[in-house]
Amino acid sequence: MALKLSNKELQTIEKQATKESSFKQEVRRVVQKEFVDIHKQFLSNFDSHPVTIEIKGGTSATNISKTLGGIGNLFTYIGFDEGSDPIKSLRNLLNIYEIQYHNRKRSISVQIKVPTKEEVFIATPMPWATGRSWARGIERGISGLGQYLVKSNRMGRSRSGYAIETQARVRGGRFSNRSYISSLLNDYYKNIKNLEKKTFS
Amino acid sequence: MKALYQHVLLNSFYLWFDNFLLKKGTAYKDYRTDLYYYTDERIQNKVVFGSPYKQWVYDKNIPNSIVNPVISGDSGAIAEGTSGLTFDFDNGRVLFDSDFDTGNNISGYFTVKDFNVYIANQTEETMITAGKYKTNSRYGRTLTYVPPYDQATPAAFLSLGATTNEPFAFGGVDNTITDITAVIFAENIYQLDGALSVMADSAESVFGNIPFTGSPLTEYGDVKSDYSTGYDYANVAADGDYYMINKVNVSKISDSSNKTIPVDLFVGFVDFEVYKYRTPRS
Repeated sequence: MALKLSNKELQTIEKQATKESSFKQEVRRVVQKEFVDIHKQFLSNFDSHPVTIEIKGGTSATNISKTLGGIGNLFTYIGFDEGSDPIKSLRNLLNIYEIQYHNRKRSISVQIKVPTKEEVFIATPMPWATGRSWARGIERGISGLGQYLVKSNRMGRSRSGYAIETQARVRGGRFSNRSYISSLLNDYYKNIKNLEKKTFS
Repeated sequence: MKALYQHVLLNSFYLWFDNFLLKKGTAYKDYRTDLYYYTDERIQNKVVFGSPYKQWVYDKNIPNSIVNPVISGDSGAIAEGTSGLTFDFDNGRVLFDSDFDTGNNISGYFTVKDFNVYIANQTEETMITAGKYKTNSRYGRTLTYVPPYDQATPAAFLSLGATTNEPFAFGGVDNTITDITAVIFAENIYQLDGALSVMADSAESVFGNIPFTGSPLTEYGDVKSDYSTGYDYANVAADGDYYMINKVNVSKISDSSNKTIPVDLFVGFVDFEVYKYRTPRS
């Protein structure tokens, strides 16, 4: 004989179920798994982006991002110190997340906190002007000043010494913008939002 | 080519920036100096007397500024129009009719901007690394006129960066997002910090749209006769058509990098993100 439940009874059961620790644990397990997949995909996209690879390549990298028309590379154009790893600190930031679970009347909602674009821009300062973001500059334009300062430092203090030797003159061409971290973050946020929209009851 | 969106934006921004820095930072000072006769090959039919300071203030909106410079000669004050007297506010000088006696001892009392404001005509790196700037004369130097047309520091150079149109509303309304950069050249760190502080506070404010016809100065650098009672930024920019400054980011060239720059100045940047809701495809 089929059991017939009224709406009120169903609601009461749902309410009770969301308080059960086994239910909570299962929700956490499902959310964690789905988020980890999203996060892995995001980091994979970040790691394989031509801008990331080029900057990660340091002073000897080739301009695979095509931002400089194939001449020089982003690491020296921006003016990073030789031996520094600007991608590492950015990736460390992108690795951060926090999943919050909120008990509602008959369900559990999920809120996932990840770095905002503003936080990313603050965490990616130009080596010669800390108020400016190189990550944003990739998308909106970067002046060639960093490269000049690298060249100047060849005579005095050292910055990217190796790159200077391979590039005798300051490049006269212009920087070409391209999409980078904002675009990656937009996809990331979209996937997170879809996960947050799911209800667990 | 007609004046398009970016032209008008830059014109409007220039006038707003000038007014904002002067007014909020009280970035101006009155001077009483001699004016020095010199010839200017670009102006054949006038007699030119130049001051040691460029970019006199002409905006009536700036409190306690002398927007009607007081010019005196051997026989006392000379009213505007007498002997063809006109002001060239941009170059900090006065012009007389060609028959004016060049041996006259001319002096002036006027207000000078702490920062000259220019539209940049070269890239940021060229400005900073190859810029040969004249400095507005200061104490301890022999006072003479500053040569006309050259750019003088302390100064702010404005330039447009990237522009993108993002969908905003039904009916083809986009949010046009434009990056505008001001490169600030200052004589000392106090001055630079002051300018950066003033401009940082402009975030989330608005400025009015001013068409090219609203530009205040004539080809001689005097206030246009259209402004019969004088140029007042607050009146010109108050027609309800506004741009919004969404974000402002200020920064300075780091200390170590500053030492490698050939110009003997302190350099800072103000990066603005400007919004304008418009219908670009209509």
